[in-house]
Amino acid sequence: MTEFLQFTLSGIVFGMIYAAIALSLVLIWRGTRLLNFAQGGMAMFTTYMAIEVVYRTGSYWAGFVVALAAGLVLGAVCELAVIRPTLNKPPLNAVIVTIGLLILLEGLAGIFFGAQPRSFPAAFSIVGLRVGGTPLGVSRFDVFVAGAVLVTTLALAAAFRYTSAGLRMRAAAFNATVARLSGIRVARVITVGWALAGLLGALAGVIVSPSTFLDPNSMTRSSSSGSPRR
Amino acid sequence: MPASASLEADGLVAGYGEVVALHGVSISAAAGAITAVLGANGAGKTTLLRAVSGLIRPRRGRVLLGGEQVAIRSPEQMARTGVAHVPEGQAVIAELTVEENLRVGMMARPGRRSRSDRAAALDQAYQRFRPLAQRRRKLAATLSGGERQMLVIARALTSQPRVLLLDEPSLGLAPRVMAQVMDLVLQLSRENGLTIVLVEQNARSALAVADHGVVLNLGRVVASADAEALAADVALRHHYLGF
Ligand SMILES: Nc1ncnc2c1ncn2[C@@H]1O[C@H](COP(=O)(O)OP(=O)(O)OP(=O)(O)O)[C@@H](O)[C@H]1O
Ligand SMILES: [Mg+2]
Repeated sequence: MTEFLQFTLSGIVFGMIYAAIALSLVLIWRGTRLLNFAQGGMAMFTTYMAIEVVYRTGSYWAGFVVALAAGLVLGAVCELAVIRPTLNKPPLNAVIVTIGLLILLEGLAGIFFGAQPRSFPAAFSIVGLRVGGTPLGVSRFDVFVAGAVLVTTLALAAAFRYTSAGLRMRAAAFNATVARLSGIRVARVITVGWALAGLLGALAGVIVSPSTFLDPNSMTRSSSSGSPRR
Repeated sequence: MPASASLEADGLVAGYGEVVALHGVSISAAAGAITAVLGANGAGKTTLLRAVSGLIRPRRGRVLLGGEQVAIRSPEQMARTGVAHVPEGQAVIAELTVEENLRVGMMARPGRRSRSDRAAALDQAYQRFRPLAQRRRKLAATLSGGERQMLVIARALTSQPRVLLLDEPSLGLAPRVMAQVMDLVLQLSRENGLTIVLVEQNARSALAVADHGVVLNLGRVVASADAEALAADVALRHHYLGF
């Protein structure tokens, strides 16, 4: 019984991390029918930035906030600078470009942050929680991970469903022509989609890294196999 | 509704890659009137609407709205200028609810609409299109063909357009439903004073409601006259309109 509980709880936490990665991929897929191979690279890069900030300021939360903000900006910049020129070109062009973007990000990370695997601190204790002496199989940090993903996912779902910005995004994703004929600036909506995907990827990056190690390729492993190694 | 405007196309040349589909087409749609654009398959009717609404970039020619030339940059900009293009094929957004589809229509003029104004526009749509009111929370995918056609027209109307471009609204509908759609088109023009450009394969029913008719053939205007005069021209009917 105890084991069942332990595996269930840690399974939920793993699931939450996959969910964040999956959601970031789906945001772009739904908006543009593009599988973004650079998603893991973007998360890796923002996590490195967070590590630098944590080591320099000593504050986990400063790093956390920087990662999310950098994810937003990186997503938007990648879309505007790299993906936008492939609009109205054969779909394969955009796919190739995302692979190129991944290689670029990995190269830049190697230059700026070094190829040594780095460890990333956890926000809270990673010692397993216990109830009356029985180990639950999850730590305080795991609870934070599950909570952060859950809150973000619910907030996004609510925004998509109940705000007019969310309606614009859905309309643009489902039928770009009708959306444009209705006055929706679809190109702008796609940029916002990339920014949100960057944000989610960055969140996944900072929450998965304490349990792996960060090197320029690790996030791509996580997002392609979906397996945060422990 | 804001004042309807006349629409003129002047010498439009447009096409797709190598294909030239419009060889200098000029039409003039009077404010508040119904102008039917007729012609066989491939005549260039849809292309004409696409060029006016900005879905394709004309290579030459001008478009005038209310007598003033508009620079056509994109469909979203044309929608915001007051040109509502209802494309062929009952293009609802199937994954959204009926009400969400209507709210998408209102995006064309977001800044100018207050909350109560938007609610009033929805109410108005439901008043006019009763079956939509009952299905407002249903996905548009679940509507019948006639209801979809109602929804796409209602969606265009919520943007409070100055000109309404309708591409084959009767296509694929049962005769009785088709007659309802034509009645609606007539009503929008007579009661609301909307400027309507009505593209139709079904020339007979289009000319029955239209004020003016333009016949296209292979990307050129071959006739432009009063709807009654066109309907009375046996040779023209036989040659280009198939009735
Ligand atoms: N996407 C496209 N790519 C290439 N050529 C096209 C495209 N769409 C239309 N055409 C060509 O342009 C010409 C005009 O087509 P258009 O769709 O405007 O005709 P239409 O009058 O609307 O016909 P229908 O009554 O069948 O809808 C045709 O020769 C057609 O083959
Ligand atoms: Mg057509």
